[in-house]
Amino acid sequence: MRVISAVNGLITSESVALYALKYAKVYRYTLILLHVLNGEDSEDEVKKSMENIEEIAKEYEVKTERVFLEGTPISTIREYIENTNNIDTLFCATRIRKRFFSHSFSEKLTRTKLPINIAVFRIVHVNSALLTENIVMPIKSSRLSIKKFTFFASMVKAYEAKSEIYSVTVVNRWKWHDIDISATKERLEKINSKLYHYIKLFKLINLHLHIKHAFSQNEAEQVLHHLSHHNFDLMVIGGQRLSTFSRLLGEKPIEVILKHSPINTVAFYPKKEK
Amino acid sequence: MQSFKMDKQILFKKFKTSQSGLKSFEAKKRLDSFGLNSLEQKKKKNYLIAYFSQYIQFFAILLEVAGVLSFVADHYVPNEGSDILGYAIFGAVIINATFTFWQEYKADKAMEALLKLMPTMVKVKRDDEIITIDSKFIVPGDILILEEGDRVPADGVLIEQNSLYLNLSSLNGESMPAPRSLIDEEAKRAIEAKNMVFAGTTVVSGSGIAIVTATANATEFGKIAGLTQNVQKSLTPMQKEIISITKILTIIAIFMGIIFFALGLFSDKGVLIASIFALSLIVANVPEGLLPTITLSLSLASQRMAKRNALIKNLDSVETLGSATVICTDKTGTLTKNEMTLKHIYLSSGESVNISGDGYFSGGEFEIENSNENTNKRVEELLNTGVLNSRASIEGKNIQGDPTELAIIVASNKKQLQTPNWQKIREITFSSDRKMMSSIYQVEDKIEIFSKGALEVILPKCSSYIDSNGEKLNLNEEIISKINDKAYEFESEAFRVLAIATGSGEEEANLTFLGIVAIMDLPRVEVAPAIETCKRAGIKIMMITGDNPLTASAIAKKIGLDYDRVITGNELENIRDEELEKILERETILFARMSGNQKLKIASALQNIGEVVAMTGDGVNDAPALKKADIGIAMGLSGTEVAKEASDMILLDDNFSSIVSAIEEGRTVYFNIKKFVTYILSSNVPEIVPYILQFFFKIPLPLSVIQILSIDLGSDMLPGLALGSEKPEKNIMNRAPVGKKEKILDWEVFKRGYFFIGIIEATSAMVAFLLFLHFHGWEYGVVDLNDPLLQKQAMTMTLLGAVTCQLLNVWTMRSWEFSAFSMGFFSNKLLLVAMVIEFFWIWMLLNVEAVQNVFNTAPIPLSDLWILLPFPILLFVSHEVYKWRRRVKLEIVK
Repeated sequence: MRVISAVNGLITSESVALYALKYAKVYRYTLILLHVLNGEDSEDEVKKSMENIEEIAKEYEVKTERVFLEGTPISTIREYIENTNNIDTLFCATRIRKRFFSHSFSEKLTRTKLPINIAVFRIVHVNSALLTENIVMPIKSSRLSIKKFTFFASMVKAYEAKSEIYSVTVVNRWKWHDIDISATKERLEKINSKLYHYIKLFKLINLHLHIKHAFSQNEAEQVLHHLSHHNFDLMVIGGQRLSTFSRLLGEKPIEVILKHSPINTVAFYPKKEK
Repeated sequence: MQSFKMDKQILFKKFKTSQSGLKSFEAKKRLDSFGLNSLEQKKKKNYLIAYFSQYIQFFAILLEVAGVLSFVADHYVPNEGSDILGYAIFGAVIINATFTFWQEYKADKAMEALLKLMPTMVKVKRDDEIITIDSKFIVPGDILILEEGDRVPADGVLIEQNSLYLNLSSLNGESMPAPRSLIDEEAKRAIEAKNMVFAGTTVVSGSGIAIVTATANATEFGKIAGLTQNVQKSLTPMQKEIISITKILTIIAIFMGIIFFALGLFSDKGVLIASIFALSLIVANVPEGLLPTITLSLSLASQRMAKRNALIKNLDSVETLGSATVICTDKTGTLTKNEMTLKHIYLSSGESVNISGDGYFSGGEFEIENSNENTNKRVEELLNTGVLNSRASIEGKNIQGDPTELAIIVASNKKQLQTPNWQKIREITFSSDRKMMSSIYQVEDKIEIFSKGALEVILPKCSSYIDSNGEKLNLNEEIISKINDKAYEFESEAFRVLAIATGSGEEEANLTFLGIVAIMDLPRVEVAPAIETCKRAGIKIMMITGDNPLTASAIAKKIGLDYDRVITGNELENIRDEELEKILERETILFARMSGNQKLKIASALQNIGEVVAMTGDGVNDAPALKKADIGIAMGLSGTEVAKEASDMILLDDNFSSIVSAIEEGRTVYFNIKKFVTYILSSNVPEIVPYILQFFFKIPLPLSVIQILSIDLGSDMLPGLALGSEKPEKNIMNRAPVGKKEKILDWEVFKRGYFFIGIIEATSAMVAFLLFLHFHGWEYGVVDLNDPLLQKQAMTMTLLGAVTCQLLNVWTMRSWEFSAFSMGFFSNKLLLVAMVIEFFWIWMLLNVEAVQNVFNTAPIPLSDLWILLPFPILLFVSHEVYKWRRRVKLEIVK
């Protein structure tokens, strides 16, 4: 199997490749360093980036391959993926400055129906890709898909990191004053029992998982507040494919988190089953 | 390896940069990836949602249902005017929603404009050139050039530095400048690393070059700013009040609507008539103008507060201020001027010098005890030594440097001294270990050293002193003892004491002791009277300061701030929350040596024991407490943007007395709202009673629904608003804070509004209606008048009966407890304007055909208008008597 990391010569894409490298090592996958020649990125910088990554990959005993394609990035990549078997996940960086009519590479990628998982990274600390010790995954109440959990577990395993699932239950402003202790207890117990098997799974693979709870009026703000309070190095969140129309209706929690996260964050988009 | 542990070359490789800086195109690409280097507000208000939410308020929903029912009635029984009623009701809803939204929108926009920052320009190296750019365009990998006075725009690792000191107070509350170095082997976390610079901090002295490692939210500053984002805030007392008022009035309206609908069904009036009656009663019961009047009144109050240097960010907070029971205030800059002032000099020869004036910009006189012809010269020598050994500077209003050095420069300016123009050779910098600094100068052909620092450090380095004749003598035990005694005396009064000495050569040894100076950040003059006012107003004041207990208590004493005991930051750490609550219930505490994050604990404890907390703060680490407090107050001059963002109110002058003024305004607003709610409720009764009477008795329709709306959304609005802008009553700061359980819509408001003034107004309206009909030949039992003009005239009389009563009601309602005559006829300009407009409106109702067509009114012969006179006078006199009796009763209770 293989893992693809999109490299464009920028320090952010280089950081993402290091995350991909750690992930590839867990499963002994080959890391494909992919670049689509498009005239925008400096080929020299791309090659330098690839050299840097290959150097580190050697240390980690991860096999790498360079792939240069030519054409319109998204369609070229789609074609490549469709013609190449055994690709597990595509790692790429996202840019934070959005342009209304020109979506970023990662946005276009997540909107395209691809038969692989996509991990979109928002890099704010260039230096933490190899220094990750604490990973957190916020979830809404007990909502957690197997695929997202598996990706989270893989990243935790890759870094042998401490991990935490941060469950946020949203309570509206008007009910905030009436939070009742017995109802709260019942709610928390329910969430815990739903998440219990994940803790068990972690124990099975010799990893330790913490579950923390919070009640909040605003999910995104609560997560950002939690990040500010603790020394996490990486956050895993579930990706959400947003249409242009849904954007018009205001920022979604996932966008707020991605935009304002003080740590490196990965939004995981599981592959769409046929 | 963490960034601060990497050497320069690895850092360059890691961040793909070099000594020459980033290439411009690379920086541009990185800006796309990392985003702007600014801490954006996380939640942008969606104005579309805000506008439409006005349509789902209790009152609005009630009216909308009434409107829909009107159209339903019109569908089944057309041409009965139900459709016009429907349009009128929806018109009222739209006007109400738009007006309320517009007020909030305007307040928001005004705030945004005030908070908009001037761009901070910073120097970076790009394409091998030093350029100045807006700090928001900084990206990781940029090479940052830092100089004295600069604000650090991002986190970075130093690659070069020269005696660099940062003020980290915005991050950790520590006001002492923190030295930086190129290597820090011991640090485990970035925030501890001495080879790092941090966003939000400032360069106190020295210079440096750093590689940017993190920008915006990823910086340490950004992380702390994130802490403020999720302190859950409860509803403000005003929001709770509005919910409570709307609930009560909605229940009354629905209840009456249902009763009359049922009565209509059981009588022979039929479903349609019963529905119209029910609808009319609902419309009459809902004070449509109440919400916009409250919003407008709060908006006007916030404008008045801005004039008194308190900028309100959230309109509802205005009223919360009136309920404040505790003010937790900083010391430096709020109670004091944050301008160190040199007040006393003690010369080595034993003469004392007192200097008048406080702060950086006041003048002052030197008063010398036991002086002789040499004293002045020795004072000048001491001040010159201080100035020569300083990096601070004052040029016009531009102040830079260490506060204690500034105090010496100001004293030297007061003496109009010319600092000698000698050449500075080098400087031995201050550090917290050395506790002294020295400057070495070439003085003609000699080299001289000028030193200042802690007395216990300087004195042992001195071998001589200058006596009263200007002679240099050997330092002896007697002189040392006298100097120590004096220093102790100053320190016990919370002065900061600095020793000043000079000598020959470059060594900090064998110095000649010149004297000591006593410096203090003095209290603001307006603070003591403001504290006195708070005492009378039943508001507790708790000082929370990072300073030591001695300084804090000395300032508290100077300003008349009472407290039971001092608790330090370390002690607070060991006090459990429940224990702290018990202590705060019993005692007033002075909190010393506190860090910003401990304020949150204090605010929570105070709130848990039922206090309404106003909390001041300026640093980033104060932000969570500001957000948690019922009223977070940020400092406009010295506060960080994060603190301002987290606060409800910004003090434009950082002055404690402005908080007290704001509280006075807050209390005024509370009572003004009470007054105009009573005023608005009063006119509900003459709107309801005609319908009830028409239901039970055989009389024509006394008032139409459109006329009800003309009162609620027309004639009541401006006078109501004028009541909202009434000035404070004379006892406003002599009463206890507005209690949490005190409601605006309490029994007193109901009693006065519905059952006293309302009944008089209803009587006025019905007497006017019936007498007018009677004078024009109507007899009881005739329900349908054949003369449409007579019907319109009679309805106009009902309307005028209510409106004229409201004309005098607004005057007597100007004071809740005191006589209307004590308020001054011309003191409320808006009320005078409202009166003129009211009379004009009445004139239009009687004379302008277009208005008459819309509002079902008609001209009234002058000979019939006298009917309207007695009741307004009765209303005014009886309410004045009521207030007088209440004053007497309250006085007896007191």
